[in-house]
Amino acid sequence: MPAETLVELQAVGRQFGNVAAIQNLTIMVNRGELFGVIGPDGAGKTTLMRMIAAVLNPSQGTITVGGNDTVAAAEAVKTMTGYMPQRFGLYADLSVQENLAFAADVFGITGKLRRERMAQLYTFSQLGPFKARPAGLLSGGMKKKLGLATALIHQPELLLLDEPTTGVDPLARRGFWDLLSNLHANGTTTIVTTPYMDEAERCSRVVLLYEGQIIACDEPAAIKARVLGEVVTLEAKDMRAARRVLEEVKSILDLQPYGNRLNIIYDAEEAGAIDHIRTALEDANIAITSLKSVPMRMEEAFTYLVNQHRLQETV
Amino acid sequence: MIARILNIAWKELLHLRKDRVLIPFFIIGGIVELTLIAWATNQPIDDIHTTIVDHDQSAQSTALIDALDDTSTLAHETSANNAAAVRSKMHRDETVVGIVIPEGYAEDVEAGAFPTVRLILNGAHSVKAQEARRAIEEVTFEQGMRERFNMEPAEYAEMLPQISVRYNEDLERGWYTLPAESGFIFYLFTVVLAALAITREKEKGTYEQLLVMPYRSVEVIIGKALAPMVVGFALFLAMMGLTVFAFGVPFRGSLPLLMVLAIIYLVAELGKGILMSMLSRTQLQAVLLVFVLAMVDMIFSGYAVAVETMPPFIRFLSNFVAIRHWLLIVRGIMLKDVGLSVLWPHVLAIIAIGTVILTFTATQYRRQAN
Amino acid sequence: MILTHFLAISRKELYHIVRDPGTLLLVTIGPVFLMVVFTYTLTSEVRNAPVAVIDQAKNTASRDLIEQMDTSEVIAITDRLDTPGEANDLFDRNQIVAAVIIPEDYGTIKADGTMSPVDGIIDGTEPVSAQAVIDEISYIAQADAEKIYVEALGEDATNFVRPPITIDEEVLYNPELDNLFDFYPGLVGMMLGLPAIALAMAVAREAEHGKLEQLVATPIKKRALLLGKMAPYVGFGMLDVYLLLVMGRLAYDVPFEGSILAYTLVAILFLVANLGLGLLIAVFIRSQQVAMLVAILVFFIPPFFMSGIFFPIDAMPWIVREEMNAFPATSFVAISRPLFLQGTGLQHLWESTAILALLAIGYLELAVFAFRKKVIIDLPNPFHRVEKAETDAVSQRSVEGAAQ
Repeated sequence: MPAETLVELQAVGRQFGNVAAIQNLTIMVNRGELFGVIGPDGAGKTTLMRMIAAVLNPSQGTITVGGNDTVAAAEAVKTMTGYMPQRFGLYADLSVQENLAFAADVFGITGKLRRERMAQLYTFSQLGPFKARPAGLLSGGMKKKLGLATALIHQPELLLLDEPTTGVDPLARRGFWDLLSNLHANGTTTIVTTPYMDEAERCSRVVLLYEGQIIACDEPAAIKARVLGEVVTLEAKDMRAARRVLEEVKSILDLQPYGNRLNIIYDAEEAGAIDHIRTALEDANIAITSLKSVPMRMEEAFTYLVNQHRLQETV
Repeated sequence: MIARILNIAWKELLHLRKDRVLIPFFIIGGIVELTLIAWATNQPIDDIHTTIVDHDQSAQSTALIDALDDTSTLAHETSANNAAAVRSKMHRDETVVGIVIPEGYAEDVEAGAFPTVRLILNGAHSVKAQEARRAIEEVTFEQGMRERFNMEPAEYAEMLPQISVRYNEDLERGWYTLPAESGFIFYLFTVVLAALAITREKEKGTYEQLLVMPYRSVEVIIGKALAPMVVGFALFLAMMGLTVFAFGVPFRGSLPLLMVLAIIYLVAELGKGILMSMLSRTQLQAVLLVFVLAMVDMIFSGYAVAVETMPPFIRFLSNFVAIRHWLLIVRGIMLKDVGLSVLWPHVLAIIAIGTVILTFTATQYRRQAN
Repeated sequence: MILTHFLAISRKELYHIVRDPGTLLLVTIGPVFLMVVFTYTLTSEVRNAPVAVIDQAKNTASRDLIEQMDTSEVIAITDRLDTPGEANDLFDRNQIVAAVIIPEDYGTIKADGTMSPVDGIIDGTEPVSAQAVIDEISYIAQADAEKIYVEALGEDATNFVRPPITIDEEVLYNPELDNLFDFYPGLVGMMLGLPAIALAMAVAREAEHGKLEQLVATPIKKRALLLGKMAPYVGFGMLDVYLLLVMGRLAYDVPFEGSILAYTLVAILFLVANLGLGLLIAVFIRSQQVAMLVAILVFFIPPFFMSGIFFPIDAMPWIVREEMNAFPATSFVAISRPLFLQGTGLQHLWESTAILALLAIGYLELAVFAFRKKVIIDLPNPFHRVEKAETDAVSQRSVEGAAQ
C-alpha cells in the first residue's frame, strides 16, 4: 500500500515577538504513522503541535491536514483531529463520565454510537471503575489516559498528543505507550511530542527538533545509524583529567558527560576504539574504574547530532 | 530582629514593584473614583421636571408661576388641564412634580384668606421630590408673604427659627464623602496588598520554606506588612492632596497628627490582611475575601451616612469596627479641627481592635508553622 | 449541532457553578448580601439623631416645645445643657448632631407683635442627615410658634401664623418619600453586575487553567460556546432578580406595582446585555485577577455614579449621557424605576427597552466576533531583562536534563 500523506508542513515558521520558535520546517506525516516529535523544552514542540491543531497560525509557510489548510479551513481540521494539550485540558470538577460525555457532545457523537464508543474507551483506557470520580482526583497517569480517551471519542483521523507522559511515573508512562502502540497497530495516525529519548524508540518515525529547527527526521534506527560511531562509556577517578586527555584524541567524535560517567563517541571506521582510549588514558597515568562498549541509544545519537549542529552554527 | 524584618520587607517591595495589575488599578481606580465622587456629589439637583395646572388664570397665579419658574430647582416643562392629567403623566414617568393652582386663588389672596395650592409629587423619584418640595415651600411662603402682607424675606427673617450649620456650612456632600473615600481606599489597598503577601508565596510554593525559616511570627508579619504600608501610605497622601487641593475640602486640623494616627490605624488593619492571606489558598481567593470583609466593614463605617443616625444595634456593633473610628478621626481632624483630647477614645479603640487581630494572626501563623 | 453544543456547554458551566462554593455564593446570595450592604450604607433613615437642648426660658412654652421634640422619631433629646458653650465639646466628640437653643423670652409676644424664635446649631459634617435634622427642627419649631401666635392673637393674627399659602400635598407611589424606594429598583440592576463578574472570571479561569486550549481545538461553534457559558448565569441572575424583589417587599416594604411579565422581560434583556459585556471583557482578558478588576470597574463604578440610581443624570452633558447608554445599567435604571414603583407600562418606556435589546444583541455579537478559537500567547515582557536571563538559564538546564 503506498503511503498516503495526511499532514504536510511546507516551510513553516513561527515567531513570538523577535523570538523564532519554529524555523523553516518541512515535514510530511503519512497515514498510519506513530510520529514522534523529540526535543528538549523550548525546542518548539508545543508551538508545532498547536499549529497542526489549528489553534495557532504559522507566521510563514502552510500546514495542511487531510488537504485542509489549518488557517483557511481551521474548523475542518479541528473536526478530524483529536488534540490533547500538554496542560490537563479537562475539567477537574467534572467526573470522568461527564468529561467524556462533554467531549462526545462537542463532536456530535450521540445516541447508540455514543454509548458504544464510551464503553469501548472505558475498556481501552481502564477507566471504567472510575467513571464517577472527579477528574481532578485522578492520578497523573489516569488523567493522561482520560485525556487520550476524550481525544479519541470521535475516532479522529489524526491524534495530536503534546507531551502526554511528562510528569507521569515510569510505570504509567509505559502503560500509556502500550495504549499508543495499540492504536498504532489499529492504523491510527498519531503525532506525539516527548522530551524522553527512550520513548522516541517506540515511534515509527521521529523528527528531532532543536531551537525550532530540524536536526533529523527519520526512523529511529536510521537516525542512530547516522552517527558513524560507537559508544564507549568510561568511569574514572579523575574525570576532568580524563576529559582533557580524550579531547586530544583525533578519532573521538564527541564527548558526552552523564553524571559521573563519560560517553565517548568513537569513529566507527577506526577499529579497536576501546584499546585506543585505554592506551591514551594509561599513557597519561589516569586510573580507569570501568571502560566498556555500549549500544548506541537515541540519547547519544541526539546529543551527538545537536553538538554537531551547534558546531556548524558557530562555524 | 530589625534587620530581619527589613530583609523580608525589602523582598516584598521588590515583588510589589513587579505587580503591573493591582497597584496601577488601585492608583488609577482611586483617583478616578475620587474624581467621580467629587463630580457626582457636586451635581445640583436642578431642573426637576414640573407640570403646572393653572385653573385660576389670574395675575396672581401667573405671578406665583413666575416665582416658581425663577428657581433653578424646578423646570416648568409642561402645563396640563387638570390634576388627573398630571397623575397620568406621572404614571407614564413623564413628570416628577405637579402643581395645581385652584380656581379662586386670586380671590383668596385678595380677601386675605389662606389659598391652597395642590402639590403632587412623584414619590418614585424621592430625592428630586424632596428637593422640589423644599423649593416650593420656600417660594410659596415668600410669595404668600409678599402678596398678603407685602413683606420681603429680609423683613421677617428673624422671626423664623435661626438655624446655623457648623463644620460644613453649605452642606456639601463631597466634604463628607471625599475624606471617607480616601480613608476607605487607603484601607482597602493596604489590606489587599497584605492579603496577597502570603498567598503569593503559597502559589509559588515558597510558603513552607518561609514557615521553617528561623523567623519569629512577629517578624514575618511585620516584615510582610511593611511594604504595603509604605505604598498604601503614599497613595493615601496623594488622595488627601487631591481631596484638599483639587476638590476644595478644607483641612482644618493637624496634618502630623493625622499621619501618626494613620500609621496606628494601618498597623491595626494589616493584621486582618495577613490573616486573610493565611486563610486562603490563592491570591484571587484572598482578594475576594478582603472585598467581602470590606463590604461588611462598610456597613458599619459611616462611609456615606453618619453612624450616629443609624439604628442602635448597628451603632453598637460599629464600635468594634476599626474603620469607623478611623473615618471619625479623618473627618474630625479635617473638618472639626479636633485633637487627641477629643479623639483619644477612638485611638484607644483602634489600638484595642488591632491588638486582638494581630494576636490572633500571630497565633494562627505559629499554628501553621507547627 | 449548534443546539447540542449549546446544551453541552451550559450543562458543563452549570456543573462548574454549583460545584464551586465561591461562585455559587457569588451568583446566589451574593447580590442579596451586597444589597443589604448598600441599603445600609447609603440610605439609612435618620432615626433618633442625638440633639442637645439649651432651655434658657424654662417656662411652660419651652417645656411644651421640648415635649414636641421628644415625640419626634427623627431626633432624640440626649442632653440638656445650661449654656450654648457646653455644646461645643459635644459637637467635637460627635455626641450630638444638633443643639436647640430656646431663648429666655420664648412664648411671649413682644410689643411689636413678634416672638423670639428658636435657635438651632447643626453639625453639617454629614449633609444628608443634617438636612433631615434641619427640616425636622424647623418644622417642629415653626408649628409650635404658630400655636403660640394663634393662642395669643387669634386666628386673624396679621403676622404669620401659618404659611400664607397652604400646600395640600399628594405624594404618589412613595407616600413617605423614602429614598430607599427611589434607589431600590436601580440597585437591583447594580447587584446583577455580580453574575457578570462571575461570568467574566469563569471565562478567564478557563483560559488561565489551560482548559480553553483543548476547547478551541474542537469544532465547537463560537456562538454556542459563548451563549452556552452565558445561559446558566442568566438563570441565576433571574433567580437573583426574584430574590431581590421578594426581599424588597418583605424586608424593606418596597412595593412592586408593575407587570411581573414586563419586568421579567426587561430583566432578561438586561442580564443578557450585562453578561454579553462581561463576555466581551473576558474575550480580551485571560487572567482572572485582571478580569475581576476590570469587571468591577465596568459593572460597579459607572452604574453607581452615572446611571441615575443615586445622582441625577439630567444635568450631565448630553454626550456623557449618550455614552452612558452603552452601559446596560443606565437603561435598566430608566425602565425599572417607573415599572417597579409606578406600574408604568413598557409602551411608555419603549425607547430605553429598545436600547437594552440593542445592547443585548450587540454585546453578544461583538463577543462572538472578537472571540478567536486560537491559543493566545503572552509575549515575554521585554522590560524584564532579569527574567529573560532566567528563562535562558532554564532552557539551558533543560537541554542538559533532556540529554541525560
